[in-house]
Amino acid sequence: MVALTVFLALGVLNVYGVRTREVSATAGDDRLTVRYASVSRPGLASPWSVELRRAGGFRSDTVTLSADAAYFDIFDENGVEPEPVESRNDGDRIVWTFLAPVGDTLTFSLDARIEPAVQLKRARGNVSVPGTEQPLSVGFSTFVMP
Amino acid sequence: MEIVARATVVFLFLWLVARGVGKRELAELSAFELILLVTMGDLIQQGVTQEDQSVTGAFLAVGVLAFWIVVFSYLSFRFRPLRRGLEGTPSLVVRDGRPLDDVLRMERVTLDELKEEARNQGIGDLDDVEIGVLEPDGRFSFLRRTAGDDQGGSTPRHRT
Repeated sequence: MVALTVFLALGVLNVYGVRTREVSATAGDDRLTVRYASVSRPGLASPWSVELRRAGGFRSDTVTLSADAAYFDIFDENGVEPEPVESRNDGDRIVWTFLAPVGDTLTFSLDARIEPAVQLKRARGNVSVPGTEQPLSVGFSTFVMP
Repeated sequence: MEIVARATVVFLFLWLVARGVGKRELAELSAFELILLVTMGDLIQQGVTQEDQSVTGAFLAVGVLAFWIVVFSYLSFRFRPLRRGLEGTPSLVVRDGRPLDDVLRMERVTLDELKEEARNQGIGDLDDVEIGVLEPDGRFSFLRRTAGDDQGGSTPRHRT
């Protein structure tokens, strides 16, 4: 009974997911923030979004983000918001190109759930902003419970 | 967190259903029970686990139900006033060979069913029963009259 109570208490405390975390990094005028599920379970909707804030706004017409392609294997994707004007695979990375937003912040999010077949796996990834003067990258990982 | 809350709500609902349908339905292998048991599992599954297809989620859902069963059992054991509400109370349905019509009506038990239950326990005539009780789990208990009880000569007879 004690073991059962502890198990359930951990469930109430969201230890088994879905737990959401945020990581950020700054370089020059850019601040990159990724919000992701650090722990999740198969079948559950799990957050993943990236926010790029550029002090003074975006001067170019487009903004490019790059991410580990392998990380997204854990997801059953329903869609993305906003739709990139271009999405391509560049080796083991996905490169998204967006129209530069009005203002100083681009937010890109994935509407997805964890693939039911994925069990007991830690998926690691990172997002970077190519083409900036100073390299900017944020790493994250999601542990999928059995 | 959400699955624990959902499983708790569903457990309480199932408990209310089990208590609310009455003692007889709980004990009978009737069509009602068949429908209830077969469909209940299917119907509540999505409500509890939603899209969760993990083993962890299944353990949590089952664990919550088991937890509340143990808690209810303990509360019933520890606190006498709660026992009546949690487990129900036995109902006296036969006294001195006489079926208690009001109680039978309230419990939705016909006289034929009562006699059948008595026959199942080797009692051919309700006149032989000192007391008959419908237990909280829906089973009947009959206590036969002892030989001395008949010597009074004024045995009430039940209506047929």
